[in-house]
Amino acid sequence: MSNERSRLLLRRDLLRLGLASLAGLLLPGRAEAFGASSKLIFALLDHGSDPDPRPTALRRLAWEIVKRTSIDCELDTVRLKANSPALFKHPLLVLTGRQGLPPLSASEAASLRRYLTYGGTLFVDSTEGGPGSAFDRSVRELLLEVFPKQRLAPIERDHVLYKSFYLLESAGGRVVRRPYLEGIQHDDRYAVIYSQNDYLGAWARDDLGTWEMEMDARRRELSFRFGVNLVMYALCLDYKDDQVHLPFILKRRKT
Amino acid sequence: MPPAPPEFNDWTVALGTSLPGWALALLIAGLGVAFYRASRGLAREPRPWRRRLLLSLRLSASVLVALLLLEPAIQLLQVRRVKNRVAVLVDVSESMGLPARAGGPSRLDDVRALFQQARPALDALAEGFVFEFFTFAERATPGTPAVLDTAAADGRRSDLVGALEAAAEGGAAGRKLAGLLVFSDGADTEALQEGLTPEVRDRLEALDAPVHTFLAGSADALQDLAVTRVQADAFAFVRNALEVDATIRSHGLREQEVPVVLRREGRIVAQTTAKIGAGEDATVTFRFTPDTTGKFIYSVSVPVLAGESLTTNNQRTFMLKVIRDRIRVLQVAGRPSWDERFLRGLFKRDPNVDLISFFILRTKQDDTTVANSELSLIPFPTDELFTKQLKTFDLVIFQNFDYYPYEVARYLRNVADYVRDGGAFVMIGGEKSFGAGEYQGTYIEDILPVLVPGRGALSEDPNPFVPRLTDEGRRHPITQLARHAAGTEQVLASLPELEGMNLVRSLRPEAQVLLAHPFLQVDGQPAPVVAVSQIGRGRSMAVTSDSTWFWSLPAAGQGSDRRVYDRFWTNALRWLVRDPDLTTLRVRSRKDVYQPGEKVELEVAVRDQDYGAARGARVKAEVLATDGSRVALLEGTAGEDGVATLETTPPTPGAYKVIASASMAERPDTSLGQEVGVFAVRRTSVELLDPAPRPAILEAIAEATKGSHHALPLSNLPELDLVDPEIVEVGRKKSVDLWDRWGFIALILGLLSTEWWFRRRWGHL
Repeated sequence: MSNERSRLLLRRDLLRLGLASLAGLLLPGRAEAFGASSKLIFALLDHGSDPDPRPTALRRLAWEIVKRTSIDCELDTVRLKANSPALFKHPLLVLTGRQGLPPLSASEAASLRRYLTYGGTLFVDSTEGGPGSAFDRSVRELLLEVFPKQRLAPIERDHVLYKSFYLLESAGGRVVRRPYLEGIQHDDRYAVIYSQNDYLGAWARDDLGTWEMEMDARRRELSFRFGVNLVMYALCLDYKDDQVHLPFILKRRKT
Repeated sequence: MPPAPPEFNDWTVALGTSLPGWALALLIAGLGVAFYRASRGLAREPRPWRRRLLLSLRLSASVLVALLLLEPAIQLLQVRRVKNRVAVLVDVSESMGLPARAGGPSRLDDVRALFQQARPALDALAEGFVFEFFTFAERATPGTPAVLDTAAADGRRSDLVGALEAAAEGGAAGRKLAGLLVFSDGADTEALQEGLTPEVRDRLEALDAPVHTFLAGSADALQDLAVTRVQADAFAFVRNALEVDATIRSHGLREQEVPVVLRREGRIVAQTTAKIGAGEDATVTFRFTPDTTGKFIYSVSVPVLAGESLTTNNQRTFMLKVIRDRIRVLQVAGRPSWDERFLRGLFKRDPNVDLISFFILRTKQDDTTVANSELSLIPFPTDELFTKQLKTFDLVIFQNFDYYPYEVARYLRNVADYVRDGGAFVMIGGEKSFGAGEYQGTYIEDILPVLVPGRGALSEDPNPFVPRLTDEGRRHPITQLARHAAGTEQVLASLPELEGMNLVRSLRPEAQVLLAHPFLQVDGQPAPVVAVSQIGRGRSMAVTSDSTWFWSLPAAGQGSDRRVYDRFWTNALRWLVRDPDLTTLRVRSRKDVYQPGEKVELEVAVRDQDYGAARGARVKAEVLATDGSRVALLEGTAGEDGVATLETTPPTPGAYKVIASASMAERPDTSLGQEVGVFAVRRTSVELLDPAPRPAILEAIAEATKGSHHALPLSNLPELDLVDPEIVEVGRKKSVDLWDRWGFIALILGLLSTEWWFRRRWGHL
């Protein structure tokens, strides 16, 4: 490339700086040129037994993600059966409930196994109760059907899930029934992440801007931060475990 | 007239008894008992001399009886000593053609002169020994001393120990080796390069004969500066520093500093100086970092100094194969997305890939109220990545990445230069890529296979589609998604539709479109979905979709082959970084470095579009010198195995590139690929790399084998310690019995009668 072209480029850069604010006003916003594949859309697992007890939670989390990060997120969620082919276009799936879940059919278990094995991530959040509750028991049974040889195990505090965007010390949620998360690993990643602390309760906010569940504001903020981290983990995997990030993270953890 | 019977000239005693051992033992024991009883019976004899006389008579008779039983005989023999072998070895390697002394005859001439002057001594020795004559260089060749009259010093190597072993093993059967005489300058190119190692010492001791060494030549006669040795690994890892040691040797030159230069195919890579005195070695170390994979010819050279006897050993050539350690991939993504996530997941799973990712997790438009100490975000290290580290990557990926907000504009030229210098680049689609990423008119557009639209122009199409495999895509390794092109088409048809694409302005003329939109056109051609191009020495690829991840998880959801995604991107990675296994054509030289005058043999292996052996393919190989001039154009036809062997007459010394290409006979306009190979022709043979006489090595050989060491010129053969013959050959023999004679029997009877007479007289009966 010639020097003349370099100069042109610099001149154009200066013009850009001068017109940066105008550009945003004069140019139309980004058209919906690419399909849904380019956006993050929360998928909610329709298990047939009150699958969405916190209907505004994921929408609110999506809104917060758009506000806080560069992730392009659709506010509306999709509700899908475990054996729906469409499920596979939404690699982040949320399973929640406030009572025991009906067992999966063989085709649903096989489909969910395939989904999780080939790259899908399932976030399970209990709104009902703690360890040993009907929801907890049925979730463990359901996961046994999907991964007969694997059990939920506590996720270590130093896992990338706690540093994928925000630096978090522990698992939070609306209530802390368990101070840790559990998970099932596949291909060096957590394909299943299980919380019993009602994160969705912390995120839920109606269209008028009212929080659906009362709680401490700081804990709510930390719950949103976990939600952002969860999505970052699903989208970037162990990116924040890359060597280049470690010195920064260690330094900030110390302070 | 029959010849006179030969005289017996040796004898030996033999026993002829046919009695078994136990019977003999029994009889001798009986004689012993008889003697004992006789001695007991004489206990009353008062005179000792009588007792001694009687016992002597009895003992003598007993011994004679025992001899009678053993049937002794004298064997008369006619014997002849077998002459031992003496192997004489004369070095006829090229170094023996060098002057033995300043202005004097050659080293070989000194050997010839000794053989002429020492003829009487040799003839005298020949009376006691059988002489076996050998000349040797690479190997020992039997002959006669007469060959010395016409022998030329032209051997390209010297294998002294090998020649000694061959001479020791050969020769007349049954003849013992009395010794070996070696006439050489000691300038060995094989086992003795490192001196007399324990292994070599063992080999010499196994000869079981003294080696008498005769040094031809004097170090004073040689004025030479030589690169005698280069120590380099056969393999090096790209972008990893490596060291190459070169040994420079000086003979007959004053102490001085000489420049030592390392070149890669003519271009200087590194240089240093070596301070070196006469008869000394100096070792220099070059440390450098190869920046490109492939096979390269390197050379280490020193200048030719005034008065040098030999100017061809001032350079030494070696081959270095630069391979990748792990494929280093830089993935820069404008935002987290599923497309980014599946690509990262694939590369992270691949043990051959060292992935460095940078994702823009937050922009200036996002909420930035949270303190940095509560975030894991780090600054985008643009300067580090795009200046210092850029050349360490094999592949750079811009995935839905808009450069402008991150002050990357200033580094785009670096990226373009990196690709032209052999790097690889991929731009993957999205709302921040291509035209939408404002790449028009940038240095990045220059290295893309496509031209991108400017601001305000239509740059995206949102409609889902199934990409179509193009003719070029049917043949290209990136889109080999099944065994055959037809299979790839079926696979593509079975996959979920891609959702939307970036539109480009047009294609570069040299670009190849592998996947295209089924009906959308740009600039009168199908809109490219996947396009590739050669950019200078590098490669680039454009993927105008951000949903190739649909070929992974969504494909699995509808029962399609979910591995298509892995195959596609792995193929792309391998093609972009020039994985040798992905070439349809491979050229290999039989040897990396040839000796001067040696025939160069090239093997070109050709595979067809389906990667099967391209039998019958027309193969061309252009041999180019480092200045780009064509040395030879070779042509041939691939056989059943898809391999064509091409030969050329040896070019002049130097490094050569081979540009091989092939096409099918029935499709001459269709290329089956092009591949570059290298080979080198030495300026000199290995023999002359270090032709200085090595008296120490010859002395050490003599010492190790209990031989002697001598230096030419000599007017006569010195006294040599040779092993005397031990083996005798029996001609005739005659047995003369000693026992079967009347005198022998009479002697026994006489002794017994005398004893009886005395016993009777002295009252012992």
